[in-house]
Amino acid sequence: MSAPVPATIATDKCPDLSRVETTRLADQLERAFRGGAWHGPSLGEALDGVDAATAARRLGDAHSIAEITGHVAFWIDAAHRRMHGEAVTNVPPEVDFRTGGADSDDAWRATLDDLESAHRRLHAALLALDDDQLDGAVAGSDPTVRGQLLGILQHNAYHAGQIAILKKAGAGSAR
Amino acid sequence: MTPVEERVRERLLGKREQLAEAAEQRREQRLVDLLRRVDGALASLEVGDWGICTVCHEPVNEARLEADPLVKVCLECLSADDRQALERDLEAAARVQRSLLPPARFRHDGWEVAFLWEPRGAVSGDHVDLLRPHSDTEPLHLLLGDVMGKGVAASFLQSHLHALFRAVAHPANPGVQLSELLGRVNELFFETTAGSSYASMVAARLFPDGRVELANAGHPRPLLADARGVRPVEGSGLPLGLFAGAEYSMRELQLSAGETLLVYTDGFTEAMVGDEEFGVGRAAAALRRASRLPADELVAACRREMDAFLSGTPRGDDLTLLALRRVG
Repeated sequence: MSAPVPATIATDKCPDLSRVETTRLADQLERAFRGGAWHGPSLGEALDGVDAATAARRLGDAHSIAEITGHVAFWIDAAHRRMHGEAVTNVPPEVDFRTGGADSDDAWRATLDDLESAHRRLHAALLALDDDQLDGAVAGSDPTVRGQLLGILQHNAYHAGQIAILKKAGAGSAR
Repeated sequence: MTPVEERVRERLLGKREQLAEAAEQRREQRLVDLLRRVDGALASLEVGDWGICTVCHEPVNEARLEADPLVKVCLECLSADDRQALERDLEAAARVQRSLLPPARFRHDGWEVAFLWEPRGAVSGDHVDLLRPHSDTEPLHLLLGDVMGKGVAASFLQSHLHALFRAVAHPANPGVQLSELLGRVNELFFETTAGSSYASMVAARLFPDGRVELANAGHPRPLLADARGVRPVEGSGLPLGLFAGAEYSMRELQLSAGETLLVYTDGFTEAMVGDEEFGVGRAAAALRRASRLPADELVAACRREMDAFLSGTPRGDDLTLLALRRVG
């Protein structure tokens, strides 16, 4: 155990009482993103093993995995920007679902890196908040920090499921 | 005074009171000598030269001071004889600690258990224990504990805690709930530490029909890998030794063949690179990838994923990973 004296420790062992809810939300965010999600594969696990060709493939009118990944990264980043007072409104479709995110292996790698860094920024910002800051106002359809974060959790879960289905369908159609 | 010095002063004042009482009652020279050393350290804190080596006048290593606030000489200034004696003591302590561990891999009544135990230094504040049943009707007890701090001081407390659990879980106390056992251990541990140290622990009872009872005293949540995926087993009470009268709850799980529980110490999920920790998300993803491997290979695979994340950054804490796999 690394902490020598229980001054303010926000861990499973001894939660910091001013950060109980932010710690719980950060845990949910991390698990929905990396692993240990209640619903099954996390976003990261759904994307694990997807190559650029699979990510770029479109099935009918549906968005490709690369477009969905860019869209998820955009809204995670938007939640972070809104937490810092920026208004993110009137987002044009070509920004929301940008194309070309898997035109090459490098482009796909960059799309995945964008997603990773957006998640890290939001997770770190959340861990720096006290519980009473969760009710702070932000611009957007869920007008509190808490509302934004719960929205991101649901958004990530929804698109993780979609990516998992597209990945299976893509693997099937490639045979 | 710095916050560390304030804490040390508080600890020493507490010890001084206990020592003065014991020295008064028992009139033993060693207690009187120890009392003098405690008074010397308190005086050093007052004048501001506590933690400074009396030979080279450089600061003594902070972790060493936390383990023993009475230290007056840094490791570099120890005589060759003192250094050798210290090394011999550490080696002996490490041997004793290893000898208290159960086999690193075993099977029992439809369960496969494997663990990996790696101290940060010579000895560990982590401990794994196994209490085999004395009859067919009793379950197997397994526990994983982690005492505050690292090194020799933590290993002493860990041995004490280990003995306490064995005493209260003795078959002479049949029918006692696991949550109640943790409550009793907490009371006894608190009597020893008076809130100055604490430990986390997960205790498990494994039954031959695949049932598992779990009680958690402030320990990182175990991860369950089943057909649905991987998720933490929620439900934890306060760490042991912080507050008298702490109450604990118990969770019951039913594991089917192939399902695994991974119990670990925070040396796994709190392994750090810069400001970023390995975290429960990466731990869960590692377990998911390794969940079909035999238990010993599973813990090794989880360890490898942590190493890949650390990419050469030294581990900052003791590490223990324990996998419980239902095979029957």
